[in-house]
Amino acid sequence: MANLRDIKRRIKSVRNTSQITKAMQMVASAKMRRAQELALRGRAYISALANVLQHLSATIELAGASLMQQREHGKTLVIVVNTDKGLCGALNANLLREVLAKTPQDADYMCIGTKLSPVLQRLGRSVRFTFSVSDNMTDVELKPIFEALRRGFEDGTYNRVLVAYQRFVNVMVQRPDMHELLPVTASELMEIASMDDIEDTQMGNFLLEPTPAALLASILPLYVSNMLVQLVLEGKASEQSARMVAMKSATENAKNLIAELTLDYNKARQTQITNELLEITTATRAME
Amino acid sequence: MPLHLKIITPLRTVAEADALSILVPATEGQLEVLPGHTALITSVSNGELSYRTATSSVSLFIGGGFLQVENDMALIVTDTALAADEMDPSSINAAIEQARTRLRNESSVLSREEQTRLEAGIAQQLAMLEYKRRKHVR
Repeated sequence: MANLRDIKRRIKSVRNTSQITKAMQMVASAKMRRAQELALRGRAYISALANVLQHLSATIELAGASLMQQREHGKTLVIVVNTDKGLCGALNANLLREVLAKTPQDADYMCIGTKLSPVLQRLGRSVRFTFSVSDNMTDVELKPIFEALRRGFEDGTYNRVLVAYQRFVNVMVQRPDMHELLPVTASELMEIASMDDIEDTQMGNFLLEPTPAALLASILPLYVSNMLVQLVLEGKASEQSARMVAMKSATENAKNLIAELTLDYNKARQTQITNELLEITTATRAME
Repeated sequence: MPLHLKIITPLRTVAEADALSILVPATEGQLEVLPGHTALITSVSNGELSYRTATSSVSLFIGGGFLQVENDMALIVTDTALAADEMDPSSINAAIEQARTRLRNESSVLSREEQTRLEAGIAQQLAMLEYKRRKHVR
């Protein structure tokens, strides 16, 4: 029979842990609401941009733009959007599996979030940079990353830039996903533009001001950089919801454990009392 | 038939309305869009955007972006869109001051792109102040 004091000590430690996980759950759910809102609103913006770009492509030939060039030679750059902190369930592990399955061995990697970078390095993949961005990140924080990959793409070092991230489906479901950031393709624009409810009507000949080239030169980088921002936002929203769910189940587990331990404790106490009573009665009998 | 207007920023859909006319600060100069306008894509610069609906007229400050008109649907994609009473002059001034100090003190370490970005930021903030001031005087 377990010692009464040992059981009591265990109950106390489990209760402390459950308080921590409970607090983390609250924090994550507050952050999640914000991140989720940002991610969903961003989707409308990015699809509006894609809509404009798509219409632009109906009027002029886009293929010449440097960010849309398809090239045979060059390496693949993979941007892995993972988390800075753990305790978010199997989020990073699932993402890692997706990354390893879908990227070539000799690709270069760039991590946004610090958790997966040592793992990738240990697996012999070449990790070029690791960044971490704050929870309420703005697009300014991602600007240097975007500039770096744009330069790499334009000078021909890379012919493909992929982003691996956790797509936010809903609070319970996050799906690891790959998005081809560069080169931008016409089919991708079509797909993203159709995500929004903006009605698509005729593909008319548009009047373009100031000039087609100037328009394209400003809108295409804007689209790509906002796409990157959007994917990171999705990652953040997924992280917070995964953490919230993980912490919620941890709290529930702790509650069950406490219930079991309390039962054990009471049983042990009962046994002890019975033993004491037995001793007293025996002693009284002996004295008579 | 009115013109369906939608203004979208990364943070929110600022406005969705059936407008009778829209006055836009395009990069080539002020532009008025009326129902039945030809299909158009143009870039938009910092400045005042105003539109009139059947019942009211609304004025907003918008940052750089794009305007697309097609089949009586006007779509404005921009990085900022604020009404005059949503702006806070002191925080704008502080932001300008901060950007200027960075330009002055760290000009050697900043890359060219970063310098241009800071300058563009200052221009936008100044345009915002100007807009706010004009709204106040009126």
